[in-house]
Amino acid sequence: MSINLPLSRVVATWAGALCAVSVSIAFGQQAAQPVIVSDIGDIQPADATKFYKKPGYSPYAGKHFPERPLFGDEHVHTGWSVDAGMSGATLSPADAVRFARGEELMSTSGQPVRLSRPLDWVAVTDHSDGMGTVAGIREGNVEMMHDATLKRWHDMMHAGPEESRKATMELVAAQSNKRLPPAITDPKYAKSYWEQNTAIMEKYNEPGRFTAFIAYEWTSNAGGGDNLHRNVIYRDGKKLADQALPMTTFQSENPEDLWKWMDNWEKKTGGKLLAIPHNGNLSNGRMFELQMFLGGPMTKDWAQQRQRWEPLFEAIQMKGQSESHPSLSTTDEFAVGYELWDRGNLVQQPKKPGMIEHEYARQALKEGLNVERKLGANPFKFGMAAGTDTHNGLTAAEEDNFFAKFVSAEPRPDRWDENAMKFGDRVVKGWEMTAAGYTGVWATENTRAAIWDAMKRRETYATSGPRMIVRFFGGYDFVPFDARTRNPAIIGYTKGIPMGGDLKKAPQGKAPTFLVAALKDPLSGNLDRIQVIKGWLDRSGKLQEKIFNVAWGDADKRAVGPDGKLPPVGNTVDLKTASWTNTIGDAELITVWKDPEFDAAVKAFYYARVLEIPTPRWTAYDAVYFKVKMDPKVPMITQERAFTSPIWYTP
Amino acid sequence: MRRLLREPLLHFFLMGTVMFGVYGWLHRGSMSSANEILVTRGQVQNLRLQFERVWQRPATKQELQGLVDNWVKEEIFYREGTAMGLDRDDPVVRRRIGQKLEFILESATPPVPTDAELQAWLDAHPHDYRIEPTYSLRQVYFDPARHGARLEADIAAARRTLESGKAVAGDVTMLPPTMEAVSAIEMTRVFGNEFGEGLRLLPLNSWQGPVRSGYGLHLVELTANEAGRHATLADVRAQVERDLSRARAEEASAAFYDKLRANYAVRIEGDSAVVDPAAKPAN
Repeated sequence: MSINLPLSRVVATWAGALCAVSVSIAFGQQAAQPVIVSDIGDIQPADATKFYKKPGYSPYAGKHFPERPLFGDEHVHTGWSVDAGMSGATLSPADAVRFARGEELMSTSGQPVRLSRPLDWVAVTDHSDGMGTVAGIREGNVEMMHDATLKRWHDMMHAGPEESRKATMELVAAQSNKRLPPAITDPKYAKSYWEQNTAIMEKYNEPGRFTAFIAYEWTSNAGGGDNLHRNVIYRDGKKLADQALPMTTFQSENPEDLWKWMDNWEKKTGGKLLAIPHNGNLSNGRMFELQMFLGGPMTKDWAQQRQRWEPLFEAIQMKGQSESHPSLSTTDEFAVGYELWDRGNLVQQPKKPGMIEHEYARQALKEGLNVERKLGANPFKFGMAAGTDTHNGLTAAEEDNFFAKFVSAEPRPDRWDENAMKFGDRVVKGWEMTAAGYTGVWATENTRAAIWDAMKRRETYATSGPRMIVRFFGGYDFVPFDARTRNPAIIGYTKGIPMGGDLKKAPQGKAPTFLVAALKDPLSGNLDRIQVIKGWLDRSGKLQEKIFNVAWGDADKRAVGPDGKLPPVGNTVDLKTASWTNTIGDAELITVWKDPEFDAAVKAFYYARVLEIPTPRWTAYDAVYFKVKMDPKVPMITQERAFTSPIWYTP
Repeated sequence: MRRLLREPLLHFFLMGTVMFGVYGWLHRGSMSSANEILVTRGQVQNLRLQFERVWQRPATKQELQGLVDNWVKEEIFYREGTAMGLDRDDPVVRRRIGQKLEFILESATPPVPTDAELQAWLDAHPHDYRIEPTYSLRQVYFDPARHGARLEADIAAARRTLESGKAVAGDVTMLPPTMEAVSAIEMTRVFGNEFGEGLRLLPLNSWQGPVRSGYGLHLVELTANEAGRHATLADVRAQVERDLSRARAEEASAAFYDKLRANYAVRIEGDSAVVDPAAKPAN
């Protein structure tokens, strides 16, 4: 028996030939599990007692907690987005969903492409601006209502599902008999893009197997380029989604108006919505500004609204990461030079001093504690998400399979040196694009409702692309022995609360303990370390943060020094072949960590960050495949990572 | 050409043009002249309805006035801009108009396929509708880093123990020790691609392996499996209907383009690297 583990990964072929997953269809997984209903306020994370009662003999009996994170992309544009279409993208929302489901497609630039393995869910978020609301029969276009037949169909379509179905059947019949009212071929009478979009998502949404969310992006560029974009995600299906057209920035650029629109929609339909902001890094200080959009001081109501409607923040995507900035987190060696787009806003108007303080998730989480102290509500109580923001319909976030943001940057020898963005002399280069990311969601099943509910309770984490499994539980009673479990979820949900949740006031003399575990992506690099990042508001009212190394690979050879730093894990990347070996780091890490500096009187939050060992960045795969030599300043090696939603402590 | 004349879409377009002409003639009194902007009652009503569709409430008087003012401004800019030819050679406008035409084609509801047509599609694409095999298994994990040179010997010893009916813990891992009736694709998601492949040929009810995964090596006992199979129409009706309709829409769209394309003679000047693949001798 010869055992030679295939730990080094060969150079990928762009055609995605790596993928040996056969795409076929699985059935009968539609578990009829009741959804956790919660009020529309601040939803508390899943309560362990709901999942797990008194322990029986079998540790697996009665398990109803989320067993596997469901990976997806909450940020995908297709040719239907005006800017994507303009830049040449021809793939449609249906294509984007098929790609996310694991099908092989031809990219707009004519290259076959496929994911290494299917995602579990996707939200196609074409821009609502200019989506083209071609008035249709349903919308009751007045000019069209001059036609008696069309008027009748319109009325039927609003008279309940049965009548509506009849109208559609009549329409279909009229079409096949060539007796359609001539006016109907007028573009104005076509179905709206929105209804077409929701129809596509309905067709590809297969509960239990693959979730296709109905979604759109509201693209507010305040002041002409300060990125305040939000992805709006629907929990419900077409029937409710069609009851209103998406909000556009033609109506308003003010996020408060988006929340109003969401509120109106929920009241009218009984459905549920949430919004995920992204690219704080390109907002020139506005994503997490400490005032309202129009300039007034924050109010408690405003803070509550923001927390209610925006439970997640997209912390990494193709236009860089917004988790942490080295100028704000001065002790964070992993923020230095890591996928930073920090020179300007979306149109690269240069930043001024003081802007970066209001752009990054970690700083905002800290500021939120301070706002809560002053107003009694925390506007920045959000969890972590990630998406690609691809504009070519291809959610390809893998380093060895990076199809980039725009069609023009699909794999080509020169893409690294071209301009990803250019506004006058202000340029972002192609190599600066980030091959990221996906959101891992701890949902109880693969349905719109279950994934949405997990997003709402912030039981999510962001990854830069790999699909590592990360568990993070907080409580007061975890003990080191708990880390010897084979299933941290059982102990985690029983003795604590998961990521995204709140720790109750500390019992006398106790400090928070955390059960944290990570399992590598079977296709990606080993794990370097797990860190817990703590932010707090100290007794003097100052915001603080500290990074704790809590578990690491090669523990027999590495130890944390007196300065709290852990020596680097090493590097096995071979740039000549764009490969690495999993001979350093560990396949999984698990530990119980107790906050050694806990002060029961101060507000704090904790989140976990998991780092992989160094692996080739997409630029390295490009250099090998296209045989190009890149400028020495281009990063060729990356440390992929995941960051979880925080757990808050509020005394 | 004769076939093109029978093309229903062309008829629609022609009828549309005729209708528009007739409508214009009938309403010639109310048509606005070059420097007049008539905001028709219908247009106002459209703006009102558009607002309602977004905001789920009627526009206030003030808001409606704002909508109309904005529409007028847009109309003036639009007219002035088009008079200056700003719409020509604008990539956004070109693409948008083209996209709209495509969109209209695609949104034309195709006839619902018959059962026979669905069955024929399924028969022609059996591999797209395979029902995945499922497996139930127990596995014992070996982390190569923890065993070093003893790896092979340790696995062999563990296997003998398992074969004698005793339990072996293997290395501690978060990977599930048992899986019940899990599809091959789900198996792949948990253990990686190689593992899923490795399961395919294993016999039932005996300890086999080691099987490789993205984590290391595993001894595996398959306790049940259900072979994959081709789906019947009843299994996958909705998917087949979706895919067939999609294929038809693509065909129709391509055919429509071909017909339009045949009406044009394209000449490409002065660059031998670019040719017109559709160029045909004039007839």
